[in-house]
Amino acid sequence: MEYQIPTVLMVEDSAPLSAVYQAYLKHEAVTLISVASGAEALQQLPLLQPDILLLDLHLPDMSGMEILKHVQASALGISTIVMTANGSLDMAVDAMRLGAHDFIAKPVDADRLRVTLRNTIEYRRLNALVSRYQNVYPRDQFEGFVGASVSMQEVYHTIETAASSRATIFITGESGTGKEVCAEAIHRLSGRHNRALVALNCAAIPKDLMESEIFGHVKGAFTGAVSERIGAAGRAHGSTLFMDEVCEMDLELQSKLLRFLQTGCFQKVGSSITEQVDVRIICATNRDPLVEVTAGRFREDLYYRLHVIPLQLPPLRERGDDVLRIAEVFLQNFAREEGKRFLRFSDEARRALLVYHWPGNIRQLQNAIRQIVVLHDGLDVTLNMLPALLRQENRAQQPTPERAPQAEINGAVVGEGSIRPLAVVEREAILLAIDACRGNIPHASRLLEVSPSTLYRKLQGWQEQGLLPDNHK
Amino acid sequence: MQWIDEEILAQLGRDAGEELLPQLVAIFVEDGQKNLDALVGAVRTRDAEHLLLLAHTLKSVCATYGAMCCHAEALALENSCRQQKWTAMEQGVADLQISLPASCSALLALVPVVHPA
Repeated sequence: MEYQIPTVLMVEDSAPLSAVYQAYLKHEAVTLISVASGAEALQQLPLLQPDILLLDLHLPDMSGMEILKHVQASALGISTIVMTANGSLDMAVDAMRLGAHDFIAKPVDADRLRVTLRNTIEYRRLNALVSRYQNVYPRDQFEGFVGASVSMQEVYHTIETAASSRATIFITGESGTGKEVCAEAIHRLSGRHNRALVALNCAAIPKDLMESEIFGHVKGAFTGAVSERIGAAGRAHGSTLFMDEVCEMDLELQSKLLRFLQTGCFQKVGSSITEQVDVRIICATNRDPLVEVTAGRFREDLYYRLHVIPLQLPPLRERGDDVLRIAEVFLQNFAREEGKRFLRFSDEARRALLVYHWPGNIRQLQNAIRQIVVLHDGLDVTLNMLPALLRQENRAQQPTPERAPQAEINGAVVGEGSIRPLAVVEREAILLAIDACRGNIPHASRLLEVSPSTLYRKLQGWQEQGLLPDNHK
Repeated sequence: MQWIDEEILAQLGRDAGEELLPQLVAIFVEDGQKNLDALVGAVRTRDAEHLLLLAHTLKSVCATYGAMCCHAEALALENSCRQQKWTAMEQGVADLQISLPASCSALLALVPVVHPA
């Protein structure tokens, strides 16, 4: 990093004092510029963009405090050192509260002035260094995310760089990977953060109500529209609209959304008045949007309109040790909430957390840790406290003993090491049957000789536990 | 009367550089006369706020250059201004009308100012 000589703007109305301070600092590696009034200082600040402001608090035309407030409000990144007489230390304290970096009492001691200035320069240098390294070296937490894996560093970087733009962001990732956390982080870091993020889950709203949810409706637009309603697009004016599960949207509504994205204009349901809004769009899906386009379920033109900045959230199983970091954060939080003593995971429990493939991602991990904390207590989370699924998969990963006894099932030789939990085998068998029947659950249930309601109940249970693959949701 | 604390002046020379001391003293003397005029003007117009600011600044300047008598008088004037005691303020300015020129003369005697030809 190239070193630049810091610029110091000194605001001192007394010519003899200004001359003395300039003499004190004549050998310092700074560019020192001196002005004698508050008005001159305010004029020079944007022109010079000094690194450090050496500010006398008693000025003939205005209080130094006013200049300090201006510097803070303008977020110019200037470090201010205030100079004030010994009897005015209360003012110095007020100045520090207003954001001054340091203060020097008058009469100014030459060494004190030089040391304070050098310290301030060093402080700024280190601050810049820390900021630079924060962008280069891994972070283990970022805007609601926990994780230090390489894949998450890329996510953090994309969020940071894309947040200030107005460009549409298309977040993809399996269920439970943090798509909403991601949208919130982008909004929080954007210039629109002063207004609330408007979130809409396209999968949770009935098809018939979706248009009204997005664009609003006028009174009498349809049965039950007893009053006018502002939709998500209207509420998000000047802010961000997050459309989750966007691939679930009906094709007819997709064309209306496309028009809205192209023009920024929409009409409420039942209204002929066109409204224009300034909205930044973030959308998300747990499906592969290109597969949806190929299958004709998602408009290609809408896909390209939305897919400006793609952001892929990695599944938890591909995030290495992040699972342990996240589990530890959940453990601390839930233990505090539930009044339990848990501090850490035992080595065996840690191994089981790492081995498990987490199909439900962070949401599943969150539920698992919540379950552990609610049902158990102690300092360590041990293996036997983990939910059964995690323990089973852990056991299945154990090395197969040599010359283990083997049995023959349906003509296939089965070793002890390849035996898997019944629940896992059952889930696989049912999902394979549903796939073979092209999603026709009543037909699959007939072939499996169980009732359709049994299959629906099991599918719902697996969905809640995050155990359902994406193509079965 | 010792108008100048020579130890403080010597320290100023060490801190600022001996070669710069004559230049600094010249600025002090020039500014001292301006300050005195401003003090008298502020008393005449009964501008206590301006008088306070002038006294406050003069206090620091005099302490820096070793004019400790002036420093003490400027401090007293500053306090009188805060208490809005006009008689004391007038007396304070009158005292400085004597001590400030005397301090400037004493300084010039200690550090001769070489004016450019």
